[in-house]
Amino acid sequence: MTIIKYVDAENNVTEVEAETGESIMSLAVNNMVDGIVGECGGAQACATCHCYLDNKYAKHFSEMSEMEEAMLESAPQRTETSRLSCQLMLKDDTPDIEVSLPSSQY
Amino acid sequence: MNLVVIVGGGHAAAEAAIALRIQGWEGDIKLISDEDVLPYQRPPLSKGYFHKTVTSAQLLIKKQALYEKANVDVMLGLSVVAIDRLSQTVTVSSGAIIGYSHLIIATGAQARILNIPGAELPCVSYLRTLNDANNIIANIKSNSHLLVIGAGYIGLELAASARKIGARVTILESFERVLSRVTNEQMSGFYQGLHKDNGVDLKLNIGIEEIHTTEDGYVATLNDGSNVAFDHTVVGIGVIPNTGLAEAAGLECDNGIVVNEHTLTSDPTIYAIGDVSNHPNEFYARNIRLESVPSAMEQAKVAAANICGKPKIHNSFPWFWSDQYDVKLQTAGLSQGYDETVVRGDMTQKKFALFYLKKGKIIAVDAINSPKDFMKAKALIPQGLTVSKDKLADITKNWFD
Repeated sequence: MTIIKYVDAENNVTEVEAETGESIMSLAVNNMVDGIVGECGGAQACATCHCYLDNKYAKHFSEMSEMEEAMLESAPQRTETSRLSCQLMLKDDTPDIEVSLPSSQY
Repeated sequence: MNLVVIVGGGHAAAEAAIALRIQGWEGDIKLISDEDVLPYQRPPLSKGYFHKTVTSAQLLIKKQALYEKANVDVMLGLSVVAIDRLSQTVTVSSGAIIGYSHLIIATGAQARILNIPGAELPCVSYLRTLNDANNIIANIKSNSHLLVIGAGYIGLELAASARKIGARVTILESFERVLSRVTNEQMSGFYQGLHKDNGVDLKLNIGIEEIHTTEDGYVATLNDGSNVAFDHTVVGIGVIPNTGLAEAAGLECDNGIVVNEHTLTSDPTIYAIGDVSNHPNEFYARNIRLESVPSAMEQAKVAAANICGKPKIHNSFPWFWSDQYDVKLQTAGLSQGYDETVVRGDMTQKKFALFYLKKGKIIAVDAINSPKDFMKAKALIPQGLTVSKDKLADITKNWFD
C-alpha cells in the first residue's frame, strides 16, 4: 500500500492511500485535505493546488512543463521545490511520497 | 432538526456538501440532483473529455467514496418541485417531502434555447450536461460538418475541438464579432483570426432562420438567403439561471436569486450559490451573476461556513479560463464598463495581455498564453491598482513592480 502524506503549514499530517491514475491534487480533494483547493480541476489555470515536493521525490514524476513553470512563477509562497500537485500523477510504481503545503493557496 | 438540503448537482452543490463536513457540520446532509450521475466538472466537456484525455471517472468533482465517508446522502435522478418555506420542507419529484433546517439552492443555469423552425430536429444540441456532451461527441466525426450557433466560449471551444479531429466547422454569430459580451474588439479580432487560421468558416452578423432536413443531412437557411448544409449543430447562445423554484417560493430574484454577502437569500434559512446566485461584489460595487467554477466553489465554502456558525463573507475576485487550439486564455476580473484598453506584448505571437482600465484603474486582464500576467493581475487588481498605460505596454519591465 502506497501512502501519500500531506503536511500542512502547521505541520498537521494527513495520510492517504495512493490510487493509480489520480494526481496528488485529486487525491487530496477526494480525501478532504483542506490545504489543496484545485479550483480549475487540473487545467493548469489557477495554481491553487500548489505544493512542495522534495527533490528526492522528483524523479517519480514528470518534469515541469513550461505552463506549470509559468503558473508557479507568480504563485504566492513559491520556493525551489514548488509544484502544481495536479501535474503529479500517481502510477503503479510510485513509492510513498510526502508533500508539504503552503499556508494559503491565494 | 439539523439537516441541510442541497438542491442541485453541479460544482457548487458538491463543494457545499463536503465543505459542510470540513467546517464541522454534524447534522444530516442531503444533496438532491436531477442528473443520474454524481456531480462532475463541466469545463472539460468541450475539450479534455471530447478528446478522451479526461475520462468520465476523472470528471467527477468528488468520488462516491468521499460522499460515503462524509456521510452525504446523494439523491440522484430526483428533482425538487417545490419549497415550502413556512414548514421548511421541500417536495421531491418522487413525492417525498423532506424537512430542512438550512436549504442551499444550487440549481445552476440552463442553455438558452434556439427558437426557430427546425430547432426541435435531432441534429440540434446544446452543451450543458454529460449526456449532452456524449451526444455531441457521438455526432462529430472527422468527416462531418459541425455548425456552431453562437460564438461564445462554449461554441468556440467546441469549434476548436472539432477542428482538432479534422471535422469541418462553420460558426454563425449574430453580432459583428465573437465573444462580444466579454471582450473588446481587439480580443475578438484575435480569436476570429485564430479560428480562421485553423480552418473555421466564421460568419459574423448573420442570423439563422430555419433548419430543415435533406436527403443526406440538414440545411440551415440564414437571414441573408444563403443555405449551409451540415451534419450536426451545437447551439451556444447563453444560459438562463434556474430560478423557477426560488421564484415560486417567493424568494427575491433578479437575473438569478438575490443573495447578500453571506450567500443568504431573502429567507434566513435559505442560501443560493453558484451560477444561479446574483450576489454583491465589493470591488465592482455592484451585484453580479457569474458562470464560473471557481466562484461557485468559493460561494459553496462561504455558505457552508455560515451554516456552521462561522460567519464568512463572500468576496472572491472573478476569474475565468478557456483553452482553444494552442491558446490558453486566463481572464482576471470583469471588463464591463472599461473606458480604455492597453495591449502588452505581441498579439501576432499569441502571447500578450490585454488590460481593461476604468478611470485609470485596472479592472480586468485577458492574458493569452501569459500565466504570469494573469496570476499577478488576479492578486493585484482587487487591491485597486493604478498603473500608467506606458508602463503597462512596456514589455522590458514588469508592470506590477
